[in-house]
Amino acid sequence: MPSNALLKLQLERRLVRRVTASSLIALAWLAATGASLAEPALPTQPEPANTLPAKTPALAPAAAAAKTPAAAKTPAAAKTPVTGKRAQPTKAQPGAPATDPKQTTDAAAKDGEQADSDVSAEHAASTENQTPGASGPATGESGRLTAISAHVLVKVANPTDARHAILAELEKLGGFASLITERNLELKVPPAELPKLTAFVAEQGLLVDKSLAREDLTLEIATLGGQLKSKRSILAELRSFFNGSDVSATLKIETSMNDLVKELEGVKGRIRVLSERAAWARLNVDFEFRESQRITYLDSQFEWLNSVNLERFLEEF
Amino acid sequence: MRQWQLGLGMGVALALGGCARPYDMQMPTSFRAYDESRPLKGITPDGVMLKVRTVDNYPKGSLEFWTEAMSEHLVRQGYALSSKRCFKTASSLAGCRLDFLLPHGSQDWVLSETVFVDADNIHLVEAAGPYDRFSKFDQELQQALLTFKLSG
Repeated sequence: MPSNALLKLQLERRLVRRVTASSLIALAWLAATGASLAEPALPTQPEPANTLPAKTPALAPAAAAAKTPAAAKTPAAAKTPVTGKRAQPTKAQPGAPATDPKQTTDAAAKDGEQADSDVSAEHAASTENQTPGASGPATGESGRLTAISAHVLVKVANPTDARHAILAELEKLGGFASLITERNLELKVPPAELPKLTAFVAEQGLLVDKSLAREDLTLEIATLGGQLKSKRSILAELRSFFNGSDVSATLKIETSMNDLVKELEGVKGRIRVLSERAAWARLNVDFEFRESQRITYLDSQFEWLNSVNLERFLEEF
Repeated sequence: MRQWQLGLGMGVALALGGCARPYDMQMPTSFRAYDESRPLKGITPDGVMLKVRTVDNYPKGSLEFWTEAMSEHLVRQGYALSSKRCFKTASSLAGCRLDFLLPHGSQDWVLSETVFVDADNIHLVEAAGPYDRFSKFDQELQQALLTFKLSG
């Protein structure tokens, strides 16, 4: 009987090992693929009676090692969540495969931390690398960031020659073209050079229409900067929740952090776009009327004036 | 003596021909006239057209009045006023030329309207063509307009 009892105990332990191993492999796979784990889909952890305490001194170095960059880069550490030697499944042990989520969230958290500084760096970069000359973003009085866009309709006898002349002048002024077609040019130029470029374009032919629009971006950029800071602090708080969390909680935290990092990236991107808009003035040059500028026939109180139009002229010629 | 008679005869013939229209104007050099047409009408090889017509000056208005009315009416419809030139012809007749730009088909066209006003009539010298072709004849047209005069 005692030998039977011993045998039974050994069998149970083997069974538990297999179940735990398969669960941990599944967890590792999920973490590796980045699949999102909703609450009901979380794998159930076997709770054997003889589990070890959550944090054993023996496992602590492993967890610590998992956080080290070297461990993170070791494929074995990530791909072999359970070895045969780790006979006892513990709550902490899933932490070993959970090193992947933690590593990713750590990396994400670092990304998030960097996000703020990245944005300011990118903002600076946008003015360094992309903003031509010393003019920088369009900052009016009191240093406000403004997006300037202008539209010009100019009639020229030879659009090809005019286009070449305009592009040559644009290059001299430190700008570039973002769109070139037979009928239209979309030009970006340092804000300070916009009046010069507009005047040059007008000189190429007959200026038919001209408009200028300014949009103040200061408030929007400041709001996004605030969002970035608050998201960053939330990310830092989430990171601290890892201490003492079980697998389920770790995965939830990881999901939240991933979402947060995505949001941070979105905010960063928006700030980058706005900074770009402030760094360059946009000039749209049309050589021909646009579709929206078609003629609308209206009646005049003076009868003979109703016969003054191109359609009638061509018809009666 | 014979040459003198021939010249006189031609002058009379021209004068009689001119009487058919209440105005007279030299055709710009690049334009060819439609001789059989009662209103003065001409065209260039590449299709820029010119035609003169007369409408009643009713209600009676001055040159400024009708120029402003025309400009306002066409601009309201989407024509772009590209230039306004007021001048006096060789016969001291005041006239105003308004050039409008407008989209037509896949091209932008010019419609040029020159207004001369007398007591009973408004004389309109109308010309039209695609912008790039019309531009070539702009000066010729202006020179021809200076020759516009009222007959009788």
